[in-house]
Amino acid sequence: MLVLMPNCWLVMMNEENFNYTINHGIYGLPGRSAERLRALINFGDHLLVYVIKNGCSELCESFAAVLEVIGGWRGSDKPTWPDEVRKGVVKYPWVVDVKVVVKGRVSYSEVYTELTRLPLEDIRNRLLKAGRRSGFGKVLRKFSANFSGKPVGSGLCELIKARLQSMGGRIFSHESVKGWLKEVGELLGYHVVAEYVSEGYRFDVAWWSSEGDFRGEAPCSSLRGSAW
Amino acid sequence: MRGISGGRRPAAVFEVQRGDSLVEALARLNTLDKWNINGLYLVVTEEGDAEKAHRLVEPQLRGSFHELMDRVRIWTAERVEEVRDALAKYGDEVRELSTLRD
Repeated sequence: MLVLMPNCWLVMMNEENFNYTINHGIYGLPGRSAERLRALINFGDHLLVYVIKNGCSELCESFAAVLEVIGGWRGSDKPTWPDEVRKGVVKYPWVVDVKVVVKGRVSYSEVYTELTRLPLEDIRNRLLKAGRRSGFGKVLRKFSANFSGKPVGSGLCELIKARLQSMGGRIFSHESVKGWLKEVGELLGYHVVAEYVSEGYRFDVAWWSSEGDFRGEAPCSSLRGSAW
Repeated sequence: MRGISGGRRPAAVFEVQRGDSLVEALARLNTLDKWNINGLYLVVTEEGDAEKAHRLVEPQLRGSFHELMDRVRIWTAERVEEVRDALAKYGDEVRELSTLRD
């Protein structure tokens, strides 16, 4: 019996739509390429999700999940995803049920070196040209299902899946971690300040031995002036 | 020692990595290095394993931020949560004990 290996497709979406996809277990193909792609993406295929920069908060420019297609495509005739509802239009006319294989957050910089080592000539050359810190989203878009109409190599999918699995599927939000640090500091009797601004920078959380230490015994305007 | 923004220096400053912000977080901590703060912490949110978190940050500490190499402590978000949970479990006792110092 011939067993077909599932393909892995790179899909890019904003964080709001990603959260909707995860919470509701459905994925939608964008209008322009929907007809073509629904014939190519099959039951059992994997979707490697990359969250784009636009409107992001916690998952900016990161691989955020691997999803598995667990149903057949069906038409959607009413706004479903947040960006559709806001505009009152259907942007994703074909939808499919998906389940989460693994989710988390793997930023581009974290896997840059591994990505450049994958046997994917196009990706490697483009990444090396783009450099470590900029332009990755644009480079990656060229390999997305929507743009290329082709699956990505299993090497990329397996690499990201392994990294996501190493996180245990957990996503730690910036605000949660700050909240925990605040709680720990207060429990230990420190004077805690979140979003502390000094030296022209904003620091996430700072602890002082006492509130008096934080405020200082006398104003020190010259130092404050020099720090801003 | 008088420190930043007119008050005394803080006992600890924490920077929590957000998305792809490792370099920015280290740059902020680097500006505080001169104040000789006892606890400079970088909390890595995208790596659950402490050893891997260190490996993630180490190239930066060997390069642009070498002054922080022996100063910054790297924690995972998971560890912060575990410490919070452990302390919260005995919150009243911890508060009582922490008021004993002068």
